[in-house]
Amino acid sequence: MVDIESKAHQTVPPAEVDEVELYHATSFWTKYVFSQDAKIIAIQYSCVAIGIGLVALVLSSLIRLQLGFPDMFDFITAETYYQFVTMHGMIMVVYLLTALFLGGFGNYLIPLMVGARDMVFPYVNMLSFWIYFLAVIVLVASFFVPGGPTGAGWTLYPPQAILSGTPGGTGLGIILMLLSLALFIVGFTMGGLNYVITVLQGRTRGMTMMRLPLTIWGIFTATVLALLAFPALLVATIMMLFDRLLGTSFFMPSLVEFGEQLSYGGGSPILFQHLFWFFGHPEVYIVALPAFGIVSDLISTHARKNIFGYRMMVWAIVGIGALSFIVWAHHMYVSGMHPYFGFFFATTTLIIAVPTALKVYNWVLTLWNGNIHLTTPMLFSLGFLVTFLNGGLTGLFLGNVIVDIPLSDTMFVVAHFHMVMGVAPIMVIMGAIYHWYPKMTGRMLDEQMGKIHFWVTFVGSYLIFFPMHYVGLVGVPRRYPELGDSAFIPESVATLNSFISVAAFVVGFAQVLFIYNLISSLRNGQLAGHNPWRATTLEWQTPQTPPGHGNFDELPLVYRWPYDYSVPGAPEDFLAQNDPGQGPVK
Amino acid sequence: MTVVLIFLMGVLGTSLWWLKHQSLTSKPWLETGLDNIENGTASVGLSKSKMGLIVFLAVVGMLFTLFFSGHFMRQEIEDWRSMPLPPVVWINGILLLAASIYLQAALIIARKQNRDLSYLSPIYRRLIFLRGDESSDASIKHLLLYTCVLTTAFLIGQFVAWKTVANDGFVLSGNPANSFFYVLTGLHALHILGGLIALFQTTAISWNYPESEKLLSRIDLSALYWHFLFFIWCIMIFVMLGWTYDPLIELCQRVIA
Ligand code: HEM
Ligand SMILES: [Cu+2]
Repeated sequence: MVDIESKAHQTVPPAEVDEVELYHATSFWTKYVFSQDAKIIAIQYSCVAIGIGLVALVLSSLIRLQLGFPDMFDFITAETYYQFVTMHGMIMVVYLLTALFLGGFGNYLIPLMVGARDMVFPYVNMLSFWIYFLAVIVLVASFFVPGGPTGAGWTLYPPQAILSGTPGGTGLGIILMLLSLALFIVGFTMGGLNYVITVLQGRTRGMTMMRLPLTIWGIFTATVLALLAFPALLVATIMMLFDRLLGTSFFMPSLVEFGEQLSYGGGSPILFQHLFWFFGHPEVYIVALPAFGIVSDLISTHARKNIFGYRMMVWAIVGIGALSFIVWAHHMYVSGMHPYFGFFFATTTLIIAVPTALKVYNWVLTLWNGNIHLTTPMLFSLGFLVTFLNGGLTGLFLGNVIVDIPLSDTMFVVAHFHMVMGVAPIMVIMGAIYHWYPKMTGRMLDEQMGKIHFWVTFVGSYLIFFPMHYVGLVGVPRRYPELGDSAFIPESVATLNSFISVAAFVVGFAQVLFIYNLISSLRNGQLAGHNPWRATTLEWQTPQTPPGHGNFDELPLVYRWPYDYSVPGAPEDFLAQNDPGQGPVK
Repeated sequence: MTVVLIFLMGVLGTSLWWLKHQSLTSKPWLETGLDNIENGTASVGLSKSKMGLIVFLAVVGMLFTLFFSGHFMRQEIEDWRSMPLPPVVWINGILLLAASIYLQAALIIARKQNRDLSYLSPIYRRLIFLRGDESSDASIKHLLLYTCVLTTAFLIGQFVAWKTVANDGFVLSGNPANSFFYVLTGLHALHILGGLIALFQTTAISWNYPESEKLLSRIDLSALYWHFLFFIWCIMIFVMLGWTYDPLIELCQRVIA
């Protein structure tokens, strides 16, 4: 155990990190709108991401309306259904999860947790948000152009994505989608440089890499992945825009459409798939790694116990990050490939499961014999654990070529990825919001409402996605607005589909409670004090709550790792990272 | 995608090498205090902006590598007809190289402010036609100006190159080889343009406030950026000429066959 007596009385060395010159805003506009303060930017990012996420949530309800009760709603045609599905998927993955984890939590937590006054390039950081905002505007605009948004599926596979048979394919829909993605990537790169360099160069004295909270490790590694993976999507968008607008044939093979020979020829749709999934698979971990990091800190704090195997956790994060670049073709098993390649990608896919499983064991072992407080953040963390495990197991099935081929493009896949990258990260986001809201606003969220919110969301998500596995196993394909009279689909599927839809509406509606809680607690929440969860990390040790401009009065000195909970002999059951410990202080 | 993986291995290798020096094997739960930690804060010994630029260049490198990779995969398909590069491209290459050399000279002098020009070796001085009697401030601002001129000339040269090939009938949508030519050179030119705007500012600073503290770091960053883009340029020409013998692909093919 930690010997808290040791080194308790050393003289304080001079600060090693230079004081940075902070930009001081003077007017309302520069303070709250074109703000260069990472905390404000974080809140801007989060609000926009949650706002657009709610749009995606509404779209998912519309999808479920059609699947649960086909033929009942005239406004949902096959075309609009494809548009709903596409926009729902794209918004959830890119504009909600990526933006919220990295732009939202990254901006808020990195400077505070590493003990910096702000991000290293505040101006670029501000640009990053505004470009993201522009990307969202362009995306939303595509709902209102003639022909509507693209319905190509979130994977945007050519050639169909830019042909007239696909909604938005020959109109503005696909163009705006591609433009919006390109903007998003540019904006993200600006922010991403900030997150990486702040972790590398902005840490305060004593904060070694191995004293960083796992939240920061997760966000940091995910940002590195994103910086390297998003260019692949950018290349794909640029080339597709050229194909669509200027008649090149990067991706477009020669085609006859409605009896008319198109001017395209020779292009390779497979090339697009390689580029897309070279981005697409790391994207899963761009979303998962911050969730891993954050959940580690939530579990440790709310179980009052040090994280089990910190070093292993760090290695696992880095290892998963590196491995995630060599598995992309497991999304292309059905596109056809040499069997040796299939073998290679199946193997790498299964190897990733090793560090991932390791992390799950470590979370469970952290909980083991812990002093578990069933606060809302803890409940959401536990919800994440179960859901992630569930989704991870079906992932092992799908990673095998032979199992994947019959299951590919069925609702089984939809159920799998919703468990693993839909529900699980959302659980962490919710938990994290309940956890950090007190720091961001100075007030607690209502616990009672929080618990109702948790139980409805958690149980509800299971009711939605667990039966969906069975729907997939009988062979119901995904991206089909209705099933017609297919012989192999039993009557019971329709009943199950209605049931799933009702569950989805309930879950969707429960989020209203959450939003209400967020807004009403701003005023009526219980005052939080500076460290309501008695947590060790630096963001809870700021002189003001919410932290002022510049975060700290004097930059903190870091004496210990972030997981000193329940230390024997300590006056409280935790020692903050900047706590030199007891003993005669000279 | 082989080239992408090779590039990635470089980036990941560097990151892992750096991580290795972050005492990843330390036991943070046993080590309290400020002094007995092995590596202190151990931030990388580079300025924030330099570090930022390096990471940014890794991203740019990734972007171009992905395009190259697309080029390789697309050129396997039989409708590919290689396009002859216009001769002006070679002049452009020399212009960009010259810009890089001038910027490097400015950097060397700026690093040694308050010393005289003798720091530059005579050969280097002759290479860039520098008179020996200027003060270092004066030569820096002149060198920066030349760099701006040379780079602008490069961009004009690129425009001429596009015109030439278009006039010869190699239009954008004619053949994928042409498409890649326009897209790759266009993207490269955009990056140069971005750098050039920053360099204009730096040059303005060197004329108006030669004492400014920012000058050295700005020149430093620009020089790195220029060298990098020249390097990319070389590889780009290499790829577009079709010299793409790839031993790794060869090997894979043999293994599979
Ligand atoms: C209440 C929550 C949600 C419900 C009820 C829901 C429901 C659905 C449904 C029914 C589909 C269409 C399946 C098909 O016909 O192909 C779908 C697609 C999709 N969803 Fe969700 N979803 C939810 C949340 C999320 C979240 C949080 C994510 C974030 C990762 C997500 C990502 C996706 C993706 C990527 C697709 C595929 C889109 C496509 O096929 O192009 N969903 N969702
Ligand atoms: Cu994948």
